[in-house]
Amino acid sequence: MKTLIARLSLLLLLLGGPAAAQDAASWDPYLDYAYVFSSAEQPALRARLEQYAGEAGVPLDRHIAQRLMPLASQNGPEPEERVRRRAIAHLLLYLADGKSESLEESVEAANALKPYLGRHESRYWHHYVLAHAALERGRPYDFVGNVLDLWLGAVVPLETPYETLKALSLSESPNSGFASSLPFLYENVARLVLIRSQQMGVDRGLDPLGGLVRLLADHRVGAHPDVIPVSASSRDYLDRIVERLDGPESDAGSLTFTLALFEASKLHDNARGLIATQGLSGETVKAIRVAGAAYRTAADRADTVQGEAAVQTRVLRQLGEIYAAKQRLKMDPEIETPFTIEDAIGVYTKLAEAEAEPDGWQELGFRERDGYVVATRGLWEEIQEATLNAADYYLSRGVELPHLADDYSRNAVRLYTRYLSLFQKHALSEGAAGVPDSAYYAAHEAARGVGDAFLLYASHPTPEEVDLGIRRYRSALRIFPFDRTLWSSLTAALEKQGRESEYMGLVRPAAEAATRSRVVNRWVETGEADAERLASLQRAFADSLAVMYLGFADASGVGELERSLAALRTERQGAMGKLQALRRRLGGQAEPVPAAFDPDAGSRAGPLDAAETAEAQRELAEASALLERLDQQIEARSRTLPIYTATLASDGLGGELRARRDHPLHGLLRRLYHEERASMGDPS
Amino acid sequence: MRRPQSCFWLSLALAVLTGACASNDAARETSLDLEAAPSADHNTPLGGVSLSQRKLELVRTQADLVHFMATLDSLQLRRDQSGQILFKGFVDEYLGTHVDPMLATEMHSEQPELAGLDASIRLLEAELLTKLRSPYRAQQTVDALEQLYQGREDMLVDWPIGKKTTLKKAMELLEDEKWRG
Repeated sequence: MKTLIARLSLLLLLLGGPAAAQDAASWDPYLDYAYVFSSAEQPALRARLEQYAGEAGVPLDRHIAQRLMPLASQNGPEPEERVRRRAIAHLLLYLADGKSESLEESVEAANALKPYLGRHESRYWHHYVLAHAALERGRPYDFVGNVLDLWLGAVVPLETPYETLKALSLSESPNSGFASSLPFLYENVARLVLIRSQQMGVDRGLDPLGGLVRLLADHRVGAHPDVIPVSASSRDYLDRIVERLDGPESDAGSLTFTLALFEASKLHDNARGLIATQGLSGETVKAIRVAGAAYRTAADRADTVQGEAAVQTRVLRQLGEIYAAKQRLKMDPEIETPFTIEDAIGVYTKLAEAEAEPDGWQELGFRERDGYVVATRGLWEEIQEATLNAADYYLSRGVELPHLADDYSRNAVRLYTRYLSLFQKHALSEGAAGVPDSAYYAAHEAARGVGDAFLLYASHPTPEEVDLGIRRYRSALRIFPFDRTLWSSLTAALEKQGRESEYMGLVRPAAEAATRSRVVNRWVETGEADAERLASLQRAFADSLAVMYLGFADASGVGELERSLAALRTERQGAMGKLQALRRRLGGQAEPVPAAFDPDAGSRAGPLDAAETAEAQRELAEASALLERLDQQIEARSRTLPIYTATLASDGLGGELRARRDHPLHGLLRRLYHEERASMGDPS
Repeated sequence: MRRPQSCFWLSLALAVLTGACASNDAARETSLDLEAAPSADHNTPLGGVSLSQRKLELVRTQADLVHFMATLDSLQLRRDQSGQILFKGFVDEYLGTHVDPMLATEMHSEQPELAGLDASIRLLEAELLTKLRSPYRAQQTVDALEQLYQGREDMLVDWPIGKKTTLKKAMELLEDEKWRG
């Protein structure tokens, strides 16, 4: 019955509904079963104690004064139950009201329990109270010690009896004693370690508890849904912590670090939510700062490169979000961050250098090579995204403030160039495990970005900058030739410099490479993702006229091109008619046109004289040449125009690649890049 | 346990004292005291609840030792001295008060459903004791393994963690690891 009451109490407590305590005329049952509700959040616990006070007819503090105060020593040893209840009662008051005096009273009573520690219940409360006291005093070493002692002295001895009772369906028996509390003890330890310690600001020295956290997640917390519903337990939270503890975002399994990073991530989520709802308001900026400080704390707790990488990866995500928000909202508030892209590149370099050493990743804190690869690639992706977002932001600022366009363009170029340097350093080997496939498209974007910055955004680029911009456009074409818009950007840049005649010479290598590429051909033949779109571009690259169209025709001018083809056909009809007329004239045939409507009818009626014949023959030769030229033009345009038009279907491919880091084409770009390097004689 | 060097013996003394108290309690509450430690098995269960309970207990212990090993490795990798002191004390006590009494029977090695688990746990314990710098106790564990499983060295065990090897190979690996310390 008591167990049932306790369970109901817990459920109602967790649901926030009214209590339905029964048979409770005294505080004693509530105190004996306090392990059921002692981990509740402060407001809920306070409400619960008030309700129990109503049911018991006396507030808890008065109950302590009336019934639980220490006995005078001359009255003999104090009963164990009374001491334990006093320790619990004071602890509950401390947890509900936060008064440190209550905690001190509880500690005094818990210490008075020392003679009774052979009983698991007393041992549990003894260490539980002392663990809270250690948190209050900011003593992680004592906290950890008490939790470990609690586990050894109160949890481990109950596990087998609990399983036995459960197997015999006796776990709810009134005689099962404290053993039946085991699911609640698991829950309380989990909340104490994962939640309470963080609320109390203990952010160091918790690592030995990592072992217990793993144990709690292993068929303990949430494993007794008949006692504590999974949804009311800390199971989800615990799983997320353990996943991080053992995953690539760990610091060699440090619980302290994992909790610190988790807290920072929550603050980051809060800041992200505020950006979405309030834009870059004062509150948002404050939330960003708080998250940055929390990430700083996590970074300070990191002992290994693995931990540093985990922090940098998340921090860069926030950095990228801030730049994207600034660009989108056209705001530039003062936001300070303790991290930079350069810091992240420094950490990445440490990660990448470990690749050269056999099992070097283990030295960095990783337990498995897969985790190392995931973390290294993840950091790279955040570096590239933060770089591209920051550069985009500068370019957009240049548009908003034209008088500063040159400065902003050069800022963007510095960012793009930094990324390209990173790419040159680490991505030249196809098998570089720490370089994600998406790095290649990002290199294309950075190279193109340099060209755009100097040739589209800057107001007064120097000749050297223009030259660099054109060279980077060419690099971008070589990495990813399938962005149709880049070809016309290059011609626009060349036109600005009066160098449009160089277009064909500049783009031909990229067009030929894409056409003859074995990896692309295989991709198309086997019908991989976007094969048709790539095939249409390949057909265009193989046709020099289509390549010219790609460079000089505007996508919106397809209709115009089609109209000009129709005009050519009309012109051809006219030329053909004239040719036939001249032939008939030279052959002495009568004109089909009625003489009454032909002013020249009289002159054509008779045979031609020598001068007229010579003139007609000259006109015939001219008409024949015109017709031949028109035929060639019509043939070329009618063949090329559909090829060019088909390439329009590839529009948007670049955007899709930027939006999806896992787009299958990223893998193709990687192979294409290294295939071309190999064909140019670079063995790497 | 939290002050293992200077206070270990004090803790031990306390444990003895509290154990005495527990005994008194037990005497008071006799057979209804379900929290008292179960007595060592003398009979070999062939099936039913007893066997499944014992199996469950061994499985849980094996999993717990794997988690302890991960935590210990983590603390050592990060050179967390105070964390190691705390956790090694904890593991040491866990082995002494929970694992050793549980393994203090030949019944597991004689029961086909339990033998593999028992041997794997002993190997894990020996590895942990090596990490705890307790070579004598580690050797005792190895000796017990050799004695209990003589003639069954081809039996497969779950050791090293995440792998399956024959007991013979595992013993060789363990010996090598013990000397490397």
